[in-house]
Amino acid sequence: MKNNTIDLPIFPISIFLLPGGVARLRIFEPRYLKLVSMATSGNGFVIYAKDQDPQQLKSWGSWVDIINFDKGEDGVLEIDVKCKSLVEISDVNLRDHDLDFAEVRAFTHWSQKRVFTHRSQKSARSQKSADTNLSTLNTSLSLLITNNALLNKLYESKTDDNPYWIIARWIELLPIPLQVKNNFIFESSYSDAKKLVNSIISNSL
Amino acid sequence: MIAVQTKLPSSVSHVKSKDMINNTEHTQLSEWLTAVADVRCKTAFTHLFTFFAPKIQRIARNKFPNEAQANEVVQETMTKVWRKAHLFDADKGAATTWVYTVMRNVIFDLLRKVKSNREDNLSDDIWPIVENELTDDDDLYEDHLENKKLLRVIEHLPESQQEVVKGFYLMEMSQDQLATHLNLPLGTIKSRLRLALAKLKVQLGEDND
Repeated sequence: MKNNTIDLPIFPISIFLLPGGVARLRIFEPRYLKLVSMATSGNGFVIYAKDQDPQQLKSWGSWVDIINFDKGEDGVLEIDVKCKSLVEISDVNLRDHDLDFAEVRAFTHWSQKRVFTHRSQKSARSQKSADTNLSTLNTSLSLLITNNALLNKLYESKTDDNPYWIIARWIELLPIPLQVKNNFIFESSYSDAKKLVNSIISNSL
Repeated sequence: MIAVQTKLPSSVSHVKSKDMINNTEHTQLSEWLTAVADVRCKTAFTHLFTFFAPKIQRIARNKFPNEAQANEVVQETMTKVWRKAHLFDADKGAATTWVYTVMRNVIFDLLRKVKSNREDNLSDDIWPIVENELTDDDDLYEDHLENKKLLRVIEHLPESQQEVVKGFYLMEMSQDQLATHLNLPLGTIKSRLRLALAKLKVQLGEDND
């Protein structure tokens, strides 16, 4: 398998987005206006949260596509972006006044998994409790999205049966430090993420 | 909250700047704009119109193939200039910068109407054309000190406002919002978060053994 790297412009901003996540950005700096015009005709761009663990060997970013744009109340350009993949960035060197590019490599994340109804392996009881938790998280999330003006605009579908999607959105939305959210990027961290979300939202394991 | 001064990207432009604007003209334009704001001076507005309309027309013609649309841009922009002149602050920048900002927003609105047919709304084409008109003006009013002051002010804003100014809407709830959402006291939310994070720390510690 080839070491598929791609050259993409970098947008340094501390926003945590997993695949499937949508965010609204305000673009007024000229170098980022340029980034936007490049991105619309090309391959999107990478959102890179600057406050990552400096100890980490590899930096990561969210590879996004622009899915919509508009003008904010103060006349500033607002773009809606959707994350399609996470990427590894091996060499980040942010300059102050210029647009940065980096060679990045996409990697798969648990949030991109699909679930198959495969109930034979779990006991009926544990499956039931898992289902209850999930449906609580799902309902709670769709309520949250619906009741928040901005989220409601950004997410066309307020809900998804896919547990990976649900947990990913919760991790993005919960008020926990970015350093903590970073833990759910590289390792096979879905179960930790699920436990965390459940203990906060459902008050259960 | 005002966003930091935009300096437009440099790129190849298709419009030659035939009009170098000097200091006297800047002052004159400022005065006219202020006259419109203060006393609704029609003469001043006529001068402004004479000055800006052809320029706006030229820029709009480059952006819209349709003559009628270009005219609409001129009309809309100058109407807004008339109506919103009181928002112009001569201390904060050039009259040209202000008027071209109004024009830019008008162009945006018009582009949005036809956006479904055009993928290239955000192409480089819009900005370099305007930038070429503004380059000389901006140099006169660039103030690094002002930018630094502005940045310090931004740091003291409440976080949600900071995020908006810096460039994004925070895609995260506050603890307050979480409390409201779950219909629980804030204290309960805080302890839940604390416990959950502590538990996670232990789990991650175990995972790494």
